[in-house]
Amino acid sequence: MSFLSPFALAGLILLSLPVLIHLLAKRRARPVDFPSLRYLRETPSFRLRPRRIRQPLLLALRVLALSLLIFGIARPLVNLRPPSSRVRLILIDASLSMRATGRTAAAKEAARSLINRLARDEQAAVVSCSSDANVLANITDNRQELLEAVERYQPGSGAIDFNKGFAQAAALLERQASGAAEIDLISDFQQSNLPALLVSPQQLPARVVPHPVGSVIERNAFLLGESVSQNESGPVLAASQMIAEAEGRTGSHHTWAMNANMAERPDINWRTEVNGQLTGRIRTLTPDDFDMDDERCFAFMPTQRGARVLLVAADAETNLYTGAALEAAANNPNEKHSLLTRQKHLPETAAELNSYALVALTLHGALSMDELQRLNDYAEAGGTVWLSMARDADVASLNAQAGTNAAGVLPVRSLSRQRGDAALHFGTADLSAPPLRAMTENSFAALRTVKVHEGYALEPEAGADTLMRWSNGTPAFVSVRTSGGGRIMLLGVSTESASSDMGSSPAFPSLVFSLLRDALTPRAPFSYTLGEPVNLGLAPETSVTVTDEGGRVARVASRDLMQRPLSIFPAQGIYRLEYEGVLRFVALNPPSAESERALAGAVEAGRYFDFKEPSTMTSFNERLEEAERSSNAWRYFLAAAFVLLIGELFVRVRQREKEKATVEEVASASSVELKL
Amino acid sequence: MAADSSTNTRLLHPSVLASIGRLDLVARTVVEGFLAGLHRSPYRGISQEFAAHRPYIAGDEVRRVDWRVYARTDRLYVKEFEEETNAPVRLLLDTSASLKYAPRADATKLDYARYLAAALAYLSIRQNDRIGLTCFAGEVRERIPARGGQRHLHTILAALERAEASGQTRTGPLILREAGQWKRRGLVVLISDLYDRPEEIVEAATRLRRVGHELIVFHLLDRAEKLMEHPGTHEFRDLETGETMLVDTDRARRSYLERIDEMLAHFRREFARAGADYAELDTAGPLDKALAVYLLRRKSKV
Repeated sequence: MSFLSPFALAGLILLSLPVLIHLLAKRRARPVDFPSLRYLRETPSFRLRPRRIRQPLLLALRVLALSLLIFGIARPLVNLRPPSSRVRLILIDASLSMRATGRTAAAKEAARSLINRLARDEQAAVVSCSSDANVLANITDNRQELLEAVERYQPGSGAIDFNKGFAQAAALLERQASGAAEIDLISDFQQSNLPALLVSPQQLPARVVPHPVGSVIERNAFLLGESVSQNESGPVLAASQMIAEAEGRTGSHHTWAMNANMAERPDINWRTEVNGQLTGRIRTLTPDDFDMDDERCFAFMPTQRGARVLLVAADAETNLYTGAALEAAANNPNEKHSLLTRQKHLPETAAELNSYALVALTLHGALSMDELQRLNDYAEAGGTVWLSMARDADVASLNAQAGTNAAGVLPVRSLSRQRGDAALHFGTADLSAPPLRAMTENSFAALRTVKVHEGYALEPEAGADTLMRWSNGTPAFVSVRTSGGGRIMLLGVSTESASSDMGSSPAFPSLVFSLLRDALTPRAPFSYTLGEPVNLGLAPETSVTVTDEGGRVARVASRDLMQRPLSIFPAQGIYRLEYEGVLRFVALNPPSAESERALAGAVEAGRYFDFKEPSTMTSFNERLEEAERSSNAWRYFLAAAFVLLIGELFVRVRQREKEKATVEEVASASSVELKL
Repeated sequence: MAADSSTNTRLLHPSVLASIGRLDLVARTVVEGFLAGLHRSPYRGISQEFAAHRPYIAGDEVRRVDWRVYARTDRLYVKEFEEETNAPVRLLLDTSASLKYAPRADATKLDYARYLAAALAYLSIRQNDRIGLTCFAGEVRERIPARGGQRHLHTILAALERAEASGQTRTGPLILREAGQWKRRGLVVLISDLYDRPEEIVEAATRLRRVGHELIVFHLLDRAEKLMEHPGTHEFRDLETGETMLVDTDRARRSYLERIDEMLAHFRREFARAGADYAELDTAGPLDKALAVYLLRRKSKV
């Protein structure tokens, strides 16, 4: 039971008055001169007993009447409904956009308001949600704990993913035994994020009530799509600046030539790390209302290789066909020097390999572990490896190597020889994959006509892409991206005539051109969006040491980078990763979707949730109405007090009459009247 | 007649008498008012000494017609006689402090006792009785031997005027001590609230009766005192001893009334056994009851 005027309850102090009156008032004895105390002294119960409550019935009636009177004045709110445990899950958007001016404070205020309006039988939990959900306060009825949790709320730099929040809410509610539940979703409801909320009400763990907060940002400029390329003067950084205004969006593409001699520019800061990576920040060129997304971090490995290609070919036919195709693709007709280098063996050091954009190698027999390691290092440093399976490849050794993690260079789990007795030829190709993007349909159609005498069916490892398939559906050409931005490709056939007629196919140069084109394409920097899983291509248990720009060090498993990236990379910046002896810098940037300035109103946000349905959860307004109805209870309290006062009067009159009757009875019983 | 009676009764009420002030007027008012209410003169005509003849008027007893004079004169005359009694009337007036009790503002119990004594003295003088007065508390404070005559009446009334209530009383021994000084038997009228040892009082009454004295005991009890008309809690102060006591009368009343009732029954029983007349007088009531008791006793003795 609560009260509309709880201060009136202070009047309960008045309850002591009747008690004091009964205890003390009767003791304020008036002096009376009396002829003799002889007969009074002989009465057994004449003395006034100290601190004895006299006339307890009258006292009880008076105290009860006064209590009811005070309770009535305090306007009690009596909830006649059976008590039910209700849970309100306060889900607060903690994405980057909530850091816009005033939105954090508005969200906190909204949450506090919800907590302060909790009914007596309601519990609540506080969950913040961006790319990941974070429970700030478990389900509790402790208001103070909830309010403290709200104070701990801070928006991060990630993108909003309400489904994560709903999943967390469902997990919390599962632990709750019973009772109605409601999710109060506090967010700025960016329009760009709303389509992701299109979930059916049945999928929601509870009724969702949106609470929009924040005002629209008038103008917002932000960067996206940074990339790096190489020209004669060195690496060139490019990014697009978007400006969102009321009239719409405008975009402009900017490039920054990163001259090594110019270490600093007004709009770009960069440095060369110990491992050769370039890291830094670029900023928007124009100021705006929301400056949380004005900066963009980058970290990339500058390519030092030009368009040079290395062909490692022990056999003449490979040297002939593949060499010719590579030469045609790599060389500029105007250049005198050939960019193609032919070697019979793999260079002894990785440093030599690093000067090539593409290393093409036909596997005869098997590769030594040392060769595999060199190729792996080269690919991790951003190089592209193209392996072709010769007819005399040592399948058993390669399978053995593929089964070990050490030989990460092979993008397959296993491979098996396939005889081309029937009609073995290429079946399908993923021409949208980057390595084949330069091929046309016609080129691939021509490639499909190539007769394959002996090929290899490949089983790609996890994370590898299948570029082509044999006509029987088994993978024929697989590719995998390395964490360093490089690529390793394995083709299940070679240009040897004993293996296939591919070398003489007119479509083969087209394939080689496409592969080389991809190898020469500028690499995207090692940049991730906050909240996005960071895949280093490592085994799940691999230990990774993460150091942020402030020098804070965290040792995590590789799996954690995938499963809870936001807890490891909570804010925008450049992070230093160390794993298995490799040093790598990655840049984490806020999601561009969070830069959307347009916000949805309550009505628009409400369309995404089915909160018009009747619910067992009463809203605050419903509770207010109920309170108004039950506030009539004060009348009953006052009426009861009135009845008790009448009862008290009745009892007093009865007692007086009884006393009088007693006197009369004794007086008449005594024969003191004179009989003349 | 009834109206006259009520008027006379009203005049006998202590509150009315208190407004009169002078004790002689009070006594006269009481007695004359009382006598006027009676149908027949209680004292004229009962003496043996001839006083005078007067014409017969309606209402006179036929037996008192002097037929000899009628034979001579053919007129009806009635014989009147002077009363003549030698038995003295002795008033014993308790003036202890307990008679200061005044539940109402108009008069104390001593005032009532004073009016009663004055009225009895007046009545006695009217009847040519000798009247004496002894005011006492712990000891005798005023002693006036029994005599007759108007001047003596004034002496007694003056003594009554002087009487003040104070001190503790010892009624029983004092009565006996006083009786030891009386040489003639007579009528003893004790006016007291009897707040003393009852057995001593009864013993004194018995011994008075034994030696031939007639005794009338007027027990003065106010209604408020008798029925404990003091509701609530009070600090009662004993007027004689000064002792105080905190009493919740609502709780103590029943028991108190039972004690009072026992006390009154005891006095009634024991005085009857001793052959004394006992009358409980409510000092809030009129004086006629007391006069009636007195006259009845007086008549029976003459």
